[in-house]
Amino acid sequence: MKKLRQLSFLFVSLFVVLAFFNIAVYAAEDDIIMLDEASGNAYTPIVIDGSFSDWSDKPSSPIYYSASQPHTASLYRDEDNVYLRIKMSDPGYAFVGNQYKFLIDGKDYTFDIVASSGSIQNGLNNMDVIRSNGYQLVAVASARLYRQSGQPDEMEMMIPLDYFYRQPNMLKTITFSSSNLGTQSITATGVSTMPIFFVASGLVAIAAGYIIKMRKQKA
Amino acid sequence: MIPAIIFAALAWIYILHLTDRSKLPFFKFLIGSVGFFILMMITLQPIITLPLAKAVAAAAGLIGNITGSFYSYYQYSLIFIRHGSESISLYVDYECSGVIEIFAFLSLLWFFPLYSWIEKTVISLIGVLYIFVANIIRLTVICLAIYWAGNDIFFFAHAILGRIVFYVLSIILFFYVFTRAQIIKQKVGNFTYGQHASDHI
Repeated sequence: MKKLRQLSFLFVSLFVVLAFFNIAVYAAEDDIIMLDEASGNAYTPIVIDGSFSDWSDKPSSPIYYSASQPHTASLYRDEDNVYLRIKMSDPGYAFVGNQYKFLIDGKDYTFDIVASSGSIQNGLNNMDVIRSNGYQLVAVASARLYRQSGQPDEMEMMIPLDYFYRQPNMLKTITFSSSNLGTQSITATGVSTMPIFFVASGLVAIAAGYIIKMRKQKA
Repeated sequence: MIPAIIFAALAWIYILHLTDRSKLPFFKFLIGSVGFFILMMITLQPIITLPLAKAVAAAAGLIGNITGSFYSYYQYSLIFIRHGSESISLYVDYECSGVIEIFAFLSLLWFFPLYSWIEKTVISLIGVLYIFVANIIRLTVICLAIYWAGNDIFFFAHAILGRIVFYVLSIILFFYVFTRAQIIKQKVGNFTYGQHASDHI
């Protein structure tokens, strides 16, 4: 028991020390919204309308190749949909919507995001979400792009989760990447505790107590 | 839906009553625990999950904020971790909020025949808090592992490391609440003098 306590103390001490050991983050820290800087405590749902204020309190990440300026990407999911926002690095870099790869629980879905009108104009653009494989329009998805001279292109899109899987609540991990934007990938995932083992260990604890008690009584 | 729940609850109470009258403590424990768990999952789980998930994300985020290693967007039950140029968002949904574990623990406890009502109430409060803290430790371990080693370690951190930490902590709780209590509270049997003692009376 004493050894167990010593081991626990050692583990906790190591854990606390390592927790403060910082790792370099190679990205603009401006992209991160800290807990105390978040614009509000209220839940703000995302609406695909070409206005990007609803993304202001969601986390974002840079996507880039080493020699270029980073683009900004946000991946967010709720119970029903997966959302993606891409902000290009600078006004000189026009929006690239090809080969947007979503890895849904290990299964690949690649989309092209193209202007519904054929070409992107200044102002708000309706975009089509098209499966790269077979070039089929995803009618249930929606996307908007906003272009303003002197400002980087910014796009937001949404795909219902039941497009990927009949039971969206069963989906665990969604990863987005695009080789046209950069090498990085962004992942949104759940971390289940596997409650069945918790229940099983509880029942085992009860059974173990009962067996020990019976043996002691017999003795 | 509500009449069906009420009917099922009444049927459950009646079966419990029967097991009690028939002096079948094992079946009372089994049927009682399972029924209570299902009832809580149907009635309380939709109400409790979201606030609990937010609380877990916020509490884990405090540790992240102090250490500067990960960030909590608690209004979205989300924890955001970066390693180098990679990033990962962990969503605290109902499967990782700890709500199922809390209900399972309470179900087992409230039909465990060894404790009094007062003891059960106190142990419930301590147990719920303990599971909440254990879940935060689990999430912190996962987040720190990703922060140190990157997204590649996610599967190991989540499926193995985090769960080992959580289950070790759970087993400690179960040991003290269920195993140890049975051994300590057992009846020793009829008190008799041994032959050697009787000779000296």
